[in-house]
Amino acid sequence: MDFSGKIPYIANCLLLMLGAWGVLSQNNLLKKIIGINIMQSSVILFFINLAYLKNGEIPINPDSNAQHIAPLPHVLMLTAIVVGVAFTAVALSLLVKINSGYGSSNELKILEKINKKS
Amino acid sequence: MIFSIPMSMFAGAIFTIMLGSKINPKKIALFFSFLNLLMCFGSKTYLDKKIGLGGWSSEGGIVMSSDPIGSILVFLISLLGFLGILYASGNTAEKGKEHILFFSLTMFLLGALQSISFSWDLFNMYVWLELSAICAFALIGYKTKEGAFASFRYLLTSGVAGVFFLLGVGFVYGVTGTLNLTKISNFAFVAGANTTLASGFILITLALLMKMAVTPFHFWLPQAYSNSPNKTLGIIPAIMTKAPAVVLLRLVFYIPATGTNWIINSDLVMYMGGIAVIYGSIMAIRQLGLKKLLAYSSIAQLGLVAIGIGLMNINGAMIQIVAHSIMKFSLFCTVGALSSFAEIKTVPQLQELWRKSPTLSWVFLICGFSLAGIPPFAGFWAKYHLVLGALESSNWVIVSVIVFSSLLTAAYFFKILEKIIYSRKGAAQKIKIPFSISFPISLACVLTIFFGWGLSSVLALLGGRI
Repeated sequence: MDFSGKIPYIANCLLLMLGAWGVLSQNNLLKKIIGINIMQSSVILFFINLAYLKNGEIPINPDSNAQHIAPLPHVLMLTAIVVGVAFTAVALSLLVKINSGYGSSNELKILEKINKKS
Repeated sequence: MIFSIPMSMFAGAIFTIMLGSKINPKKIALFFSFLNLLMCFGSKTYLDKKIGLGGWSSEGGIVMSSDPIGSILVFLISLLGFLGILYASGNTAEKGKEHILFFSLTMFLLGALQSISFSWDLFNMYVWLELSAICAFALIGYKTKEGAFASFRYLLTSGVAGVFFLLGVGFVYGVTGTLNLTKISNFAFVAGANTTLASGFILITLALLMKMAVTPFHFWLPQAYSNSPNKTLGIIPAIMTKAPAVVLLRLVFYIPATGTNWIINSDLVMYMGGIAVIYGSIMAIRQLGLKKLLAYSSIAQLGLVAIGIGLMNINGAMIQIVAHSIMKFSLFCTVGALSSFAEIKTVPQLQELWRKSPTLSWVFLICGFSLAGIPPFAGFWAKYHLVLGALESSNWVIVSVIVFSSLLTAAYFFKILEKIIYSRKGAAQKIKIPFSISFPISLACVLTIFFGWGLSSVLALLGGRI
């Protein structure tokens, strides 16, 4: 594979690292959720890259002689997107509960309040 | 068709949502989980068979597998799920929307865990793992704000683990072009050492270790277990972390070692497990809160499971999984009952429990002995097979870790037993506990005692020897 073929994978890698940085470094819990979402999108793009074929056709015409792109990763990623949506929904509803209970969505402030109590 | 077993759980969950306002949701949940238990008895899930879903052949379609490892876990989940639902139905008096959602989420969780044990396809495993985790977040965090915060930490860990798992699946798919475990195993056997495949499996292993809470990734577990509502204590701590363990066990056993990379991987699992055993036990000695003590003890016991997986000791790992689930079920349910009926939450408050409630004291006594590995009980057989496996590979570090862990377990359990047994004279008020709570606890406790009797049939299923 030449360098131009590697560019999408490098972009995936950068996106994954960006997401991981967001999860690890941000104190705001909402930003952590966004970080995980970025990581999930990077993996989804990774699967789409795997399936990509230059000049490949969409695999809906069985009679054509041209090469098709792989359909399976696209189908898998549809499911992965649905899982990601459900994950984000539960995360956000938990965050609403935390925010109304502690009055903040900053992890350090919440930990301060928990430590003060005990 | 084996998939009807988890389907009965899903059907129960959907019926609970639809009819919960008219019929009492706990009756629906009890009916469907009992049906599930009967189906587990009725269908021969342990026959080593591969079945394609939806009428497709097992070559091209999505494959479900009914094999001994999975069927043991499915039966365990079904039994403990029924007992856990019984326990939860005794622990709640209130009715209404929250009640309906609790039972339907519990049944979705149990169904997803059973589906994990049947799946023979990497992507299916990912979907079921995430589904069970999502149900668990909601169950831990729906009641209190502390629970919500603990659940959020679990969610962050599990989310990152899910991303790693999917990335690992992507690596494996990119190399082999298939998701079927049999085909991947054939490919790995033919291809030999392959760095991409090995790194894909290392990603998957890391993700599963994060979900299993083996030591460097354990930080979410004590908070999540100790802050979860008392109703869920029969379900989540007992079986939640066992499903990733079984997935890891399957991958280690069915995928042949690809060059030297995979051997490094199983060594990693084993030594991380060893560290988890020591760390969890020492932290458990330092705890005063009962739920936190049991949670740290869970970390140590899951470390033993990881040691079994790393040693490729199928008997030890499976027996440890089953024994630990039963023991921790009855211990966590006891602690939940004590905290909701008698407001007993810490170790010093256990004073005079012997006279307040003899039944619950017996549970602490038996399960404590069992966790420490004293002979006739379940924990002993698990430790025996683990030590046997470690001796076979002459790994003296791991042998001493397992034996030393017994000592540490005894240290934190005798701290509890001392409080229970030595009591001053005087009138003590009896704790009244309803039958629907005392029954599951005592049944699990009796199972702990007579575990050794059923052991030989389990081992015969696994193809081991005794």
